Amino acid sequence: VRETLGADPPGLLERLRAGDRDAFETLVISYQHRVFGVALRMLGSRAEAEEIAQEVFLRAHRALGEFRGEARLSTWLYAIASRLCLNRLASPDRRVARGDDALADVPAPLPDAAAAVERAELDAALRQAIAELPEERRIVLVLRDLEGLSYEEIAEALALELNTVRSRLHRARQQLREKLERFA
Amino acid sequence: MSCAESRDLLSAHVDGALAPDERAALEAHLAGCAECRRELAALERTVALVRAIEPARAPAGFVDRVVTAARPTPWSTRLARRLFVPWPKIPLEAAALLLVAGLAVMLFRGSVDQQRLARHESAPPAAEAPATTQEPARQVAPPAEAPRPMTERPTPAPSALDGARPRSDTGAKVQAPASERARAPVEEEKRAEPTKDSSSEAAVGELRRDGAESQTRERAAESDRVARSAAQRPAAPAAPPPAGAAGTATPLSRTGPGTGIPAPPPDVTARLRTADVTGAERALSELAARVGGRRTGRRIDGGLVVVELAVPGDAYAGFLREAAGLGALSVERQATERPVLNVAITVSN
Repeated sequence: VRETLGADPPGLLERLRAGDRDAFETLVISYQHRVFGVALRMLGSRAEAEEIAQEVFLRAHRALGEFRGEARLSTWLYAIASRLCLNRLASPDRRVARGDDALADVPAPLPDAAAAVERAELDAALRQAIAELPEERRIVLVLRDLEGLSYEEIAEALALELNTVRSRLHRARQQLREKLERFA
Repeated sequence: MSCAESRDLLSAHVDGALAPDERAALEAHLAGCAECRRELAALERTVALVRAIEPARAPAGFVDRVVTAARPTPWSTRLARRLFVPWPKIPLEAAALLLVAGLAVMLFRGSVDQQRLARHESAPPAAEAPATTQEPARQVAPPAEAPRPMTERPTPAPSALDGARPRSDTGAKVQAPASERARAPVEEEKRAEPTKDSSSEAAVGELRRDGAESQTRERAAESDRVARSAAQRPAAPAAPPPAGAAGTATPLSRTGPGTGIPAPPPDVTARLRTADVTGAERALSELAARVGGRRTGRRIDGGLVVVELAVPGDAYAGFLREAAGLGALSVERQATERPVLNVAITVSN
């Protein structure tokens, strides 16, 4: 079950700013899966995703003083994560690791083999289709449909106009719909 | 509103993110356009598929690794760094360099002296002058053996080890004709040069290591790698296979019952019912091999045979389809997140 994007843990920001060491740990515990999830879907490799996710929190740790506190901590972390992922994807020396494990599936009980085959095929197709999206569309789709951010939050995290978010998301979904036609 | 305009709004409509006037216009269009309604339904299904993807989970130990990496360096380390960096590092490096260089020169000189000595002692009188270059190497060879124990003496410092390498060349060189031998000392001096550089570089690299912080991080990463590789190991057989049941040797495993290391749960758990258990077991192994995987183990669980296979994730759907042809296959648990999946299939009749 997807974690719903709730408010930041109460008082966390104040504790972080006061240099409370436990507060940083709370921050990492609260957001580790979401930050890692974005990195995994963007980069496709668990090892690379962990490296980037770790870097996201270390940067946040160093830059806490600059955090304006207008946005939510989560939006801020998503912004750092998105930027680091896009930078990594744009770096010329990045080894080409096409997403072999970019997506997890639903480990729900599967009554019969036919359903399992179908789900496995769907997972593979989804993974492939998302990995093939252009990066600037992929990040919008990931933040919206996998992480549950609002259009406004995405616009803020990616420093984009609201309309740009809307049209990129529209194109990303359109592209997925065409690729996943046989499953829909 | 045209269909093209309508299509552009569908995605935002799915999210309820249209402005009231846009929404009203779209809904008016949809009411009269079956094609756009179909398009909207397809888009909604696609979005539902994407949203049904199980959220990713950060690997175990992630929080600890981040918190450790973020922790400020302890005051003792900071003090030590301020006291010793950079000044005393340079003399230390220089000392190491001098030591290595001096040692190399001493050893080379020693070996040259020994060679000369050996030649004087044992070479026939006619060969005493180095000018007699026609002398076959074979005749010189036995006395030339003499310096080798000296050159191969254990070196005192590990950093000098690299410097020692060309000296095995020296051993070969002394067996060469005398004309070459005369040049040898010069060449050895030359060869000693780059060696000095590389060994001192290694020493510098060692010294530049940035203290506890990076080492802790490396250790954490290392232990995680170990844990992960342990987690990827196949489970051990719970009991020896009964006689008659596919008598092939099962690879021993370092996890599983009896070893104290719990085996990881397989990514896929399935049950295959078939009249021919032995045949199905073999067929599964062959099938795994055919799709680029392999059988990783076999155990008996509650009197039933469990075949353990490693199957590449991208070949899994095909594997499953063929496996379903071997009997009545039911999949109890399925997670296809990893690049290589651990599949455990209980085969029974």
